[in-house]
Amino acid sequence: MVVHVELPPTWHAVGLDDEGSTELSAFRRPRGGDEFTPNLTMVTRRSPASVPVTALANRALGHTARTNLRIAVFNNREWGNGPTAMVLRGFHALTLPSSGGPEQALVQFQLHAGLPAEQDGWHDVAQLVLHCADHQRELVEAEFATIVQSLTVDS
Amino acid sequence: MIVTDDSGRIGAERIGMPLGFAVPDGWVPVEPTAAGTPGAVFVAVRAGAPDGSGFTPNITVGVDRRTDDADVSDVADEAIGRLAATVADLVLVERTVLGDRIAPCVAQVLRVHLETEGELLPRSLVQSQVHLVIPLSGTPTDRIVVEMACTCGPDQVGGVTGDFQQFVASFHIKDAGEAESEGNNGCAR
Repeated sequence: MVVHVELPPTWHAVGLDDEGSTELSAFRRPRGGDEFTPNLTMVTRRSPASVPVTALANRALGHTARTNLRIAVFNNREWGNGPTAMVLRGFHALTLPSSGGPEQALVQFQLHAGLPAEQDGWHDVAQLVLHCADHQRELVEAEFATIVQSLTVDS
Repeated sequence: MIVTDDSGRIGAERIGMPLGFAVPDGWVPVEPTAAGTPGAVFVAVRAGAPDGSGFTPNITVGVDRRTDDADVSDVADEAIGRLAATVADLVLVERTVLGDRIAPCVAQVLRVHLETEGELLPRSLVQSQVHLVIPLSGTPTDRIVVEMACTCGPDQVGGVTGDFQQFVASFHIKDAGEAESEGNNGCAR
């Protein structure tokens, strides 16, 4: 299965893979004065269909907590259940940049969308992750929602 | 004492494995459903809670049988994510990977803030978690996952940590004789 999303004109994609858009990196076009460039990644991962998408979303959130100083969830929504559920989380993350420097207050949106299970008992789960600075949240939140709504799957 | 889950089954029977542990002195087992944790197979609260934030420290045990490809680190991450989704904010204070490849273990300490209505300041809690993976015979991915957690106020940590360590150290799989003599009730003292 190949997952596609449409990006708003304020975003540009890089690193499309040979298959189309199952792996995607994108950046928001810079505005003057922005010290942080909002970025988006999308990957699809194989997962046993027996594992609820919520568990995968929790795992990703836990991993984020492990690699950041503090996290604070402000948005937690879930549609459907089981392997084809869709989980959206938005949270603040206080992080230390790997390049050094002071702590950064970032916002992260994560979407985990389970695709229909296949006969071998596995399925693909699409994961979209958007990072932006705290003060850019209002700017990108609606755009992320637009990107999520554009998600389509070709089998 | 019989420990049951919300379906009324004995917790240890739910996973087909009799679990044994010693409840430290001063801790009182309570029904998980009554304690608001129906997913747990065992809950105990500290009687006469030590001075602190007015919170009653508790120990919970959860068990699950898993056949997926998650390793113990994934399991511990999932526990963080579950908690993070229900609190105002969360900090992972410490995390240690223990055990061996066959029966790995993660111990981690989390500090959370809860938004509480009617209170001027958010409440802080500290939760120590221990995650054990116990392999079952059969396929390599078939295993029991055990989560033991102790939750208390920041000022109560010193008063309960030793008890929780004692509780974790006592955790074991009962042999057939022990399970039979105690009626397979999932708890040994």
